[in-house]
Amino acid sequence: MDPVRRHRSEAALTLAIEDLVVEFHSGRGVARVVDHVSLTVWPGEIVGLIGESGSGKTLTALSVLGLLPGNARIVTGTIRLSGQSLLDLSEARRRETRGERVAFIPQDALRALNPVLRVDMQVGEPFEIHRHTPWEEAKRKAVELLAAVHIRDPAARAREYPHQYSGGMQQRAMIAMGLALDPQLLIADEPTTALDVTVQAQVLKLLREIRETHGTSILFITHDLGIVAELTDWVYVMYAGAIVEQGSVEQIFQHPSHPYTKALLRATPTIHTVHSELVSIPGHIPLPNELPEGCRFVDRCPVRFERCSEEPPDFEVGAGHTARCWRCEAGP
Amino acid sequence: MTDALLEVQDVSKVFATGGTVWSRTELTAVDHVTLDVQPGETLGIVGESGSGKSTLLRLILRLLRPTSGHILLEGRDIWAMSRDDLRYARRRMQAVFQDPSSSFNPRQSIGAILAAPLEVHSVGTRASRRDTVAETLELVGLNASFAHRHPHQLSGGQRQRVAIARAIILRPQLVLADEPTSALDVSVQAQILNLFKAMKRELGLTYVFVSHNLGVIRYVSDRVAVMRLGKVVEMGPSEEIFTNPSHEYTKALLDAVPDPELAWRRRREAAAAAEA
Repeated sequence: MDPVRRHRSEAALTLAIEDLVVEFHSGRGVARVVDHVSLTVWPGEIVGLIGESGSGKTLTALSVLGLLPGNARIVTGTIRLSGQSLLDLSEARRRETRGERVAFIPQDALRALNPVLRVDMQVGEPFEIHRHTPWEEAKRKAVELLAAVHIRDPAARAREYPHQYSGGMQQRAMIAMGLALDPQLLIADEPTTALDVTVQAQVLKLLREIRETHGTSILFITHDLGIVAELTDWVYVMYAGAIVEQGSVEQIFQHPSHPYTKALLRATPTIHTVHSELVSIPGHIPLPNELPEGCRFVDRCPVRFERCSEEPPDFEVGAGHTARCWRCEAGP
Repeated sequence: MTDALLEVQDVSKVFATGGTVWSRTELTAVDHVTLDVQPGETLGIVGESGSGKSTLLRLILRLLRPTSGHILLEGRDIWAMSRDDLRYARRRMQAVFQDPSSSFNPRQSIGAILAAPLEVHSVGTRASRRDTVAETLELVGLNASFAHRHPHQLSGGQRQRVAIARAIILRPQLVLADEPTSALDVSVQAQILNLFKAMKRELGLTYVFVSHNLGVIRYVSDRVAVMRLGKVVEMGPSEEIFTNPSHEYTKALLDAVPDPELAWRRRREAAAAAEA
């Protein structure tokens, strides 16, 4: 097992999601978008949650934050943050956890920032709201945070408005805001997707640095296998609402076991290999109301057989490494 | 003397960005770019946002007029053509954009969308156009029955197949693609990239392919031009750009890409170093 996960007792878990089911209820019926998902994040660990659009990765994250859209409902499951069950808390107590214990970094920083407030007001706001810090001091702390995320000339830039920042700086400001109250867990939802690669590299470096200096755990949601390989310790692969494979980053890249994980790896064009032909996955991700019988990947799977009409359980293919595929029944 | 299909000769594009009559502020989006595209090859243009790659593509498509320099299609300046020649040039040159849903009329059926280029250029009869639409749909891997659907009934990958069908229906020589797979999921992106390659083989197309994704550029391109701040900083055979880049910026760009295998090797080495 990955060194970070070894020698740890379950009590120390930063985040434990167990058997989470989220459904959307609408006039057209019920859509199960997160289907019995279990996921853990250990202290100081960077966990990658990888999936394509519609896989349920963002809704899993929003469940932790208590920010699901109004027509989504958690049907079953538990979510524990450092041992405390979040789903039993009142909305007021829940709000206290956001910012204080778990922070969120969204994909589109410019849309998340308030365009008419100066950056220091926004980065300093958590102090005012959670700690009742006087504004002058909160703004001073905001400047320190901006310096910590490597914004040059932080005192002057703090007085500017979000639109005066470049895309990379806006994302840094969001990270600064997330770090304000030194939460145990950062949830980052595709925070670099809108950025240029050179800027993305800087933001990833910053996240690694935060983990080193603050010991912050990070749940990193992405569709980019390259980022997962670069940044994370442990990986969950999500497909159509369910986790189909999980393991250490070494296991996932050296011994990918689920056909979907293997297909994703072969479908990604990279700069260091010449592909004569990418192996594409036929079809598209099924909608929650058109899931096939049995295994949810069956329609697109190159190695399906009779057994796949029945839903497979998780099979252990390595230490702590599991894959939800009948082909793994006999072991790795 | 040259057989280049497309020549971009010392082209610049300057946009006025504001200021006053006395002190204008200007932005040089494309700065003295020279390049050529040979028949049958794929030229990849890669760069970050603001590098001018999309502006260059719009200049080639004659959607923008260069501030200086010339763009030649089959040896003739696209801004010095007669109406008839221009009409012909437009048949020879087609485009695929990033987001097909914004370049389709949502109220038209796929069949009508695909027939439009044929009608504009008075190709065939009503009946033969319908056949051509059906054939082209099959060619891009869609069932002919898709002609009766509307854009919103299609998935992102299917819409991009229709966009490719529209681009090739006039059997052009040159297809310009601007980030055609950036909005797609990885599994679907691979399908579309393979379709681009297959169409090139079957129809003998020439591509100018613009993307910010270096992996995609490497996969599709024979030659690559790296752009930065309006200039082409490095150009050469794809293999050479990716394995032996000479410009500092190209090196920095390649270093910044999180590549699964490389990241992997780097981390293992770091771990080994930490242990030693």
